[in-house]
Amino acid sequence: MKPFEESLTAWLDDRLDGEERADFERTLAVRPDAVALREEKRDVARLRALLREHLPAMTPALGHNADFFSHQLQKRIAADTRATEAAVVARPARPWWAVLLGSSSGDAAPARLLAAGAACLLLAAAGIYALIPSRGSTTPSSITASTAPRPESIRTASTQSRTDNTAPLASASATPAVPATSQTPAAESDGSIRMANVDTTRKDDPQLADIVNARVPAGTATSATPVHFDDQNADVLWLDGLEYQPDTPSTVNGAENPSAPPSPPAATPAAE
Amino acid sequence: MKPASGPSESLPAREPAEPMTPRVAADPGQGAIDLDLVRRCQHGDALAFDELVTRYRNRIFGMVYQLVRNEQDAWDLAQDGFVKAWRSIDKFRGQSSFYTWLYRIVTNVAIDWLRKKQIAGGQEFDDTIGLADIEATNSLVPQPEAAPVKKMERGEIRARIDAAIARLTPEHRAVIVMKELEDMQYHEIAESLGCSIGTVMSRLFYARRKLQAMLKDVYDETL
Repeated sequence: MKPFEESLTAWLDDRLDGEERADFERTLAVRPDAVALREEKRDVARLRALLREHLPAMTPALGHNADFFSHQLQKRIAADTRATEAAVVARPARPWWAVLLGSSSGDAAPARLLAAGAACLLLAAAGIYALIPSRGSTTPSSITASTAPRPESIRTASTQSRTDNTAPLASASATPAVPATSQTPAAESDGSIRMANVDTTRKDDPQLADIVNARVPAGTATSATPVHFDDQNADVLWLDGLEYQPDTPSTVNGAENPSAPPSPPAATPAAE
Repeated sequence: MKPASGPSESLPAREPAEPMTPRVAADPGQGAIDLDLVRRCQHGDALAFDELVTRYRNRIFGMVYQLVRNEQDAWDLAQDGFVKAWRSIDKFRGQSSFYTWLYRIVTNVAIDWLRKKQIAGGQEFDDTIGLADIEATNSLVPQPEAAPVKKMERGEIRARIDAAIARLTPEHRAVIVMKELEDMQYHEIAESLGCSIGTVMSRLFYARRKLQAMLKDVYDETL
């Protein structure tokens, strides 16, 4: 409401004190509707007189019914008090776990708290997972067996080459069969990797055979044949749980090659 | 009608209307007595609350009647208001008079009831009367069908007043009742209705204009 209307209402009700009334009268004098407002003041006075004359008489009184009113009210209050006390008595004590879970009386606040906590944990785990660098973003200079997601094409090759996990790849040198995921490379002294468990007998696997045969000269695919792999075949090595080493021999003519990276200790479990 | 309030079935016949004394300024002695009774109520003394009911039941009933314009509804709502006051008596801190506090509770009960009734379509309030409708000759003015205004008897005048007040919104009706019947101050009305003094003055301003529009011919002829 505008201040003028508040002042007007107070002026209409004769609620302004001397100074306020004088201020309002000065404001009123310059208004174009001053005459109408003064007429309204007279109207309000007449309305007030009319209401004060008739409203009280129009209001019924309790009269002799007043005691009945009180009696009924006492009964209602007594019934209300009894109902409240009964509700308190009927409320069973809840064990701590029920209070925590909010399971017995519909109080779901603790359960909601637990659910919120679980949701926070899940979100935190998802955030940590998202922060772990993906396999594809690492430099393939040294690839170890990991559980990082595989490219779909390689996954297909893996499926084709290992349709039966119970019959792992057999070594050409009759190495005892082990699960494919546990295969480890045999590190050679020249830094190359010997494909100890490459199943050269599985000629029916064209992709695997192509990859292996492209790198292994014909007639030399024995368990002792060093096989060098480049980056393109790194995924195959990864599939087989092998360690990839760059195609740089660590020795050149029997001397140590300074440009070759050192073999990480974790990459040579077979050397034990 | 308040459902399942209890007393409806056996309300005695209405007493002849007797004038309700307009509210007078609060007596400090009365306030001290009220406060003592309230303290006893807060310790579970139902008899003390009965004493408070006896002191204010007529005023409360009359006020509620002016809001709802029906004796039976006023009876039920006044009882609801007292029951609610009993339940909340522990929350009374004595920052206002007990009557103001009780008045606020009962007013809220009545206004809530009127709003629900309005939503349910039981009654239409005249929210459309604007400032331009102040002319007494407009169509909103209830026109008597019988004798001219000069010859109206008091009953007819009261019927006109009753009809005019019935067309006000619950909020406007409340401020008119509090100001003109109870003679409450602005701040007391604001406290009772839970709104600002400016809101009270605004409501009073527009409620009066609506009543002027509907009753101008009455007070022009009779006063």
